[in-house]
Amino acid sequence: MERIVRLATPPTMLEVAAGDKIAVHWSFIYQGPAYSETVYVAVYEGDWPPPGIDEKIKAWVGVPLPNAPDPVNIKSTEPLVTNAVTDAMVGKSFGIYIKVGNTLPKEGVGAFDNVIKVKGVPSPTFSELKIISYEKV
Amino acid sequence: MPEVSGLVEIEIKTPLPSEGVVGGKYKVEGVAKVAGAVGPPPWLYAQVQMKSWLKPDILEETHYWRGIPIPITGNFSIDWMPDKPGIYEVTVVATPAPLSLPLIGVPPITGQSDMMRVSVEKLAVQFSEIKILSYSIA
Repeated sequence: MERIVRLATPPTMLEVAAGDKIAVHWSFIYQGPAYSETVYVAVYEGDWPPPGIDEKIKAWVGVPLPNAPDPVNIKSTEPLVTNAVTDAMVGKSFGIYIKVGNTLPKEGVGAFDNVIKVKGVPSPTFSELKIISYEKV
Repeated sequence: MPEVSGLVEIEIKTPLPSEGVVGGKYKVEGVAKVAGAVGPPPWLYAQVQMKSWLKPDILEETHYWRGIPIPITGNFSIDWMPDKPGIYEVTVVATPAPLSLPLIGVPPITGQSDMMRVSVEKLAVQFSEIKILSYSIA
């Protein structure tokens, strides 16, 4: 079966389904001494910035940084791949963001609200189960 | 430093910058001439004396960085990479024989350049332009 791969360039909407994983390519400018730092990506519900977001699925990787007295561009060679979209996310839209260490990005380049739509019909849920009354019959 | 005999004249063509950062790579270039053009070519080193920001009146460490001479011309270049913040005083010195590095003691010196003072600061970690380039279904 032919598989259609949609590659979205922000802020294009990407439609996914439960069970899909999301691959993210990223870049940043670095200046500083050589060490290793974590690059972190999360798909979130809510409005940027934190703490107004609720992270649903995520991925991270340690990136070795060079000694860089002058700014250097660091770019992903392999995408960061999140864990799978869950059933609980079906029927909703989500944002996506990247951070490096504790440094957050600017909205519009490293964080985008509502760019991932999880298609499908939400699983039936039951709540507020109540007995309204009971009587002798 | 022992008395300089003045057998070698050292002229700096490319001095070090007055400010630098830890881990930065710097190069000092110049020309070394033996007085009267008599005797073997000198061995050239950057004599690097470091003062801490906290104790600027006290020389804490002295290191030597070997120079690379260019035959015939007398030109030389020396690469230097500071590994800690502080105030450095760098002088190119000529010695009659190669030094065994790291050097313990004081070498005989047959010539020296003017001293270059370099203030070195630690480079702060900085991230900018953090971008998501694309996202797709894996």
